[in-house]
Amino acid sequence: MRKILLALPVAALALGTVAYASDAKDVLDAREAYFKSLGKSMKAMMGVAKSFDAEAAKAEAATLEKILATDAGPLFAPGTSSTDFPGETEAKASIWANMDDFGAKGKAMHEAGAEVITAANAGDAAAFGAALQKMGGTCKACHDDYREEDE
Amino acid sequence: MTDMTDSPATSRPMIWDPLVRVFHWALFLCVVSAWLLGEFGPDIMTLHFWIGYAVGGLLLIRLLWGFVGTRTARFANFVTGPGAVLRYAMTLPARKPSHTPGHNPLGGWSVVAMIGVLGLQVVTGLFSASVDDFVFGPFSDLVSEDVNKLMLDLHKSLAPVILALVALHVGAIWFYKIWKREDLVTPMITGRRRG
Repeated sequence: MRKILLALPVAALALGTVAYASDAKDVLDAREAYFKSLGKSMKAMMGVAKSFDAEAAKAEAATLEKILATDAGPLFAPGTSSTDFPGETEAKASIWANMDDFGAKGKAMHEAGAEVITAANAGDAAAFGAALQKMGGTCKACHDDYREEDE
Repeated sequence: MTDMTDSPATSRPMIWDPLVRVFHWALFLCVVSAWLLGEFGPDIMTLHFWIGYAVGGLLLIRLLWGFVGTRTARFANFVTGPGAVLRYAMTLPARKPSHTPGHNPLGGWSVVAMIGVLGLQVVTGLFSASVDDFVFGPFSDLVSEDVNKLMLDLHKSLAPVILALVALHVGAIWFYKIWKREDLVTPMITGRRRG
């Protein structure tokens, strides 16, 4: 048993998952990587939406599906706000004071993301564009409240 | 409607033509709603964009009217040099109406400032984009992402400048009303001074 417990963090590091990130700095890095990949995916899908291509839409939807499968909970471990690490993260401390609302906004993003994936797999250009707009709106909704303005 | 033709009309000449008045109030509505939508509106900013286009259109019409419009609408008749501005500014403390038939030399520059800043606000908006917020101005594709960011920063910084100009404008109207006992609002509605 003891051996297994000791082995767990090692296995986690080897897998590169964020769930076992050992300290706050690792959380910051993992969080940034997560949102960068999400942003990259959004941008790519925006390109697809402009001149719709069913195959490209499916491929991007698969990427998005992988990103959204990440458990984002550990990425917002306590003690990782911009108050704790000024200049290193834009995550406002108000996130942790309003975790219910923050979680609801995250859920809205996931739901819109699911619509995007469904539309992409159905090859429905109009629905894809609309769902993408909606999902983009959920990005802004959360940033407006919980992200520091970068200067 | 009869007062358009009978004698009070001649004693109270038309100061602001209908185009200037419609422009003024339409601009007021558009700027207020664009600001509200920008700050508190839906996260999908389509409506803010459309109102921005309306502001741009209104400004273009007013610019044109500033060259071919009626006497008080023309820039040449109210954009004055520093001497005239200073001379007019000296008369401000006097507790009597100015009765300027149009924009006074100070107000004229306020018009130029507002048109200029609002024009800049429209242009920066057209080229702004934020991938992170998933909001893309209609011309944002024409320039690099760095320029998109710069334009958005400017666009956000100009908002309080516009609010300050509006506050100055409203403050000046109150100053004329209370200190100089001059009603500037009625002429912007009816075109003429209250008789």
